[in-house]
Amino acid sequence: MLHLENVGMRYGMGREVLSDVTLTLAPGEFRFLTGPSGAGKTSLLKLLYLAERPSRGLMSMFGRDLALTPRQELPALRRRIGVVFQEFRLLDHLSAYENVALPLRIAGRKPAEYREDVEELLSWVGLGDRMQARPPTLSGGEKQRVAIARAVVAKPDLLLADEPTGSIDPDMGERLLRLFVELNRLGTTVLIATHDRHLVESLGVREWRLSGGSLHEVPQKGRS
Amino acid sequence: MAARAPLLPDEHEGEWSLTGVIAVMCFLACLTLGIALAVSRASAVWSEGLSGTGTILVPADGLVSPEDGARAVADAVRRLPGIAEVRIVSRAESDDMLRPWLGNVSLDGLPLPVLVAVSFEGSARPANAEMEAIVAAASPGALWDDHGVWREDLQRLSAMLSAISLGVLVLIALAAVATIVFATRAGLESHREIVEVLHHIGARNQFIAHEFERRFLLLGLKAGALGLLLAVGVLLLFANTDMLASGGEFYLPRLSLAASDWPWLVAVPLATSLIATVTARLTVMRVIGRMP
Ligand SMILES: Nc1ncnc2c1ncn2[C@@H]1O[C@H](COP(=O)(O)OP(=O)(O)OP(=O)(O)O)[C@@H](O)[C@H]1O
Ligand SMILES: [Mg+2]
Repeated sequence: MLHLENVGMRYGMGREVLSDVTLTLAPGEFRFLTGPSGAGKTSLLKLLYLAERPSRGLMSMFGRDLALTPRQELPALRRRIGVVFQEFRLLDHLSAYENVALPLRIAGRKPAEYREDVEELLSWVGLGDRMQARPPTLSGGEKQRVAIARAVVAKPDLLLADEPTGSIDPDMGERLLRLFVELNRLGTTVLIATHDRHLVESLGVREWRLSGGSLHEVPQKGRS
Repeated sequence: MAARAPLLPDEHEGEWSLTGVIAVMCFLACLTLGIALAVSRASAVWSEGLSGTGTILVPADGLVSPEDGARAVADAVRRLPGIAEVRIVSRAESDDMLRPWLGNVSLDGLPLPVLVAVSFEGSARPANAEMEAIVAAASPGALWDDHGVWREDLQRLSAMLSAISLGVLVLIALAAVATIVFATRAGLESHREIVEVLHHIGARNQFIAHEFERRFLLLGLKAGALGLLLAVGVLLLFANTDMLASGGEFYLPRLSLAASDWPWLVAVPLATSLIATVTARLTVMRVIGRMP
């Protein structure tokens, strides 16, 4: 599904924010990515959702070596990835409904085909009555739920979520986690970056920890 | 739910000034083209009028009186094929023609040459050399003028005006391209977040460019139509005003639009929107192409 080998990354001419990162994410896996603020979690996810390129190392995804993949084939790869951005990145002039429907619209699907799915999903994340609201009029937690709905609506092969529960109360957090687990059960590979220890421990799945730009596997507790 | 919202928010502030600038360019382009078309048609009409006529000048320095010479020349010319009319310009008429230059003085007794106006019909007209020989034989010293010098001058002038208009049109088109490149860049910059999000969630470059194209196509059509309307107004005003106080259509043909000019003028706003669309597309594709 996803393989990085000795990957380094820097912004412009700056210092390396990731160095010698090696990881493999198997199809159907569910992982957490933790680490202190500034450790490079968002930067690693940016590499994975193809918003940045590694400055060195090998990276392959969906069985393709990215260094050998022509640019015009990248959008098709990106459409197989659902992303919950840390800062949401909703389009302010579109309604919550339109924002969630965006990936489907980009994939060329007809509104009539997806309307019910989108409405159902919005209801599921508790926004059934806020579908026509624009992001500037939504609370932080509501925006986050729209962002999550947008990331999962197209049932991506890979879901990358950056602090998806940062602005949400624990009950809603649990509900959204169930959404991720459900999606994972249907075959989506999931990687969630978070500070939320409670979230990580509640699932007991494997965890990578980033610190100072390098990645370590955290030994799992309670397993023999 | 109503039609899907456009992926780029509507913009009202910047859009108006851009529409205005493009409309002005389109106005200038239409005006230039309209004037060029009218001038070239007028000069064709005038030149054709000139080519159907000629003038014989019988000087007053011969042995016979110029009046007798003129009569002899006229008789000789009348017998030729392809002649529509031969008319001796009377002394009163030629005095009238000179008066604007000489003022209100008495012209009696001045040894003025006598003019004979000749007009042709059909294609069987005598060649210039033949005319020259016949005229000189009928009255020694008489000269044949086929108006060729005038006609050449007129054609040169008309060709120069056409070249200038073409140059102006090219400059306007280039300015329009530059304006739209700037506007598209500014639009991309102000919608950078939207463009980036679309890019990151897998929109193809053409998909994003299409949003901008559609906007600039509409803008080009709107501005183009506005410019065309203004230009047509001015051209019609131009055609229906007697600018020559002397009523001098004898010297200058009237400048006016013909039915055959309309397709050209309507092509201007269409070309404008095409330029706007293609420029916007190329600019967007280049900018997005640089994203990782
Ligand atoms: N666009 C950028 N240009 C330059 N440096 C950046 C950029 N984005 C992040 N950085 C730097 O890269 C390092 C890693 O940042 P990153 O956002 O990946 O951390 P993070 O682990 O996601 O932190 P947080 O938990 O606070 O979200 C930081 O030192 C940050 O200052
Ligand atoms: Mg981060």
